[in-house]
Amino acid sequence: MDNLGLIKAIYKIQKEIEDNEEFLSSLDNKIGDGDHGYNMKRGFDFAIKEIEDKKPNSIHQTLVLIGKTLISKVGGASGPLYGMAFTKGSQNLKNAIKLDYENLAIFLKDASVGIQLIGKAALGDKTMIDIWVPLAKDLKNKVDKKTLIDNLKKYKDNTRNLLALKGRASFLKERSIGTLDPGAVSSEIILKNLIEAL
Amino acid sequence: MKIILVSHSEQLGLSTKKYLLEMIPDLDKSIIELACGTFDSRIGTDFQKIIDIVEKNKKCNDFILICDLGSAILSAQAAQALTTKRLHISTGSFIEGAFACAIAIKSNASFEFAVQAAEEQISKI
Repeated sequence: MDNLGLIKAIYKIQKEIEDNEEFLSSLDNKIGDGDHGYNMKRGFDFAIKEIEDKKPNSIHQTLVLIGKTLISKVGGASGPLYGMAFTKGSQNLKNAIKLDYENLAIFLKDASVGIQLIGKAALGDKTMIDIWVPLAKDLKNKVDKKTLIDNLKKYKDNTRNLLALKGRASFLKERSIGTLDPGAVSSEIILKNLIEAL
Repeated sequence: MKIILVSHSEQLGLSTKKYLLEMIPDLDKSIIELACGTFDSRIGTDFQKIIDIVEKNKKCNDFILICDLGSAILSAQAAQALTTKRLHISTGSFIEGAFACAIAIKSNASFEFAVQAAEEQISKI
C-alpha cells in the first residue's frame, strides 16, 4: 500500500476499534480497569484528526504521527506501548514509498523491539507481545496473507488461557485466566487491517 | 538534577510536592517537577508531560523519575527511550522514595547517591 492506502487502513482501524469499544472495555473490566476500549477509541480518534490536520505525505510521516499521537493521547498503558510500536516501527522506513510485505515485516520487527523496550514483557505474559512477536516471525518467514490473518486470530485466542504476568491483570493472578487479553484483541484489529491493505 | 513525579493522579502529584516542601524545610521547590494525570487532567499518565519537563529544563541533564505504578512506569520508560538526557526511573516507593531523594538532592549529593536514596527499601518498624 502507498501512504494513501495506509491512511485508509488507519480509518478502517479507527472504525473497527469504535465498533468494538464496548467489547474491549468489557474484557478490560474483567481483568483490568475497564477503560481499554475508551482509551483506544480516543487514541485513534485523535490519530485521525492529526492526520487530517497535518496531512502527512509519506509512510514514515504517517507512522510517526500515529506513534506520537497514541503515546500521549491514550491515557493507560496502551498509549506508551502502541506509541512505541509505531514510533520504533517506523524508524527504518524513512524512505519507504510503499508499505509492502517486506516493509511491513520491518515495521513489525522494529515495533516488537520497541514494545519490549518498555514494559519488558516476555512471550506468554498475556500481553500484546503475544501477538506482535509471533506475527513478526511469520512475516520474516514470508507466510501468505490469508495464513497471517488466520494466525493473528489464533494468537489472540491463545491469550485467553494465559496467566497474566504484566499489567493490571497480573494483580488478579489465576483469576486472569479465561479472559482474552484486551491488548491482544486491539492488536489483532490493528494488524489485521494493515495486512488486508497490503 | 531534578525529581519528576509521575503519577496517574494530578491531585496526588500536587499533594506529594506540597508534602515534601512542608516536610523538608527550605527545599527548593524547583527541584520537584510534576508529570501527573493525562493531558486533560484525568487519571492516567502522559509521556509528553515528561518530555516537556525534560526539554523545558535546558540546563538540567539528569532527572530521577519517581513513578506511582503501572503505566506511569511505561510513560517514563517511553520518555527514557526517546530522549538523550539522563533519565533514571526509580525502583523505589513513591512517597518515601521521593522524600529520601529530595533530602539527598538538598544536601548536594551526587546523582548516584540520590538514586540510591530514592530506591532504598524502607523498613518501618
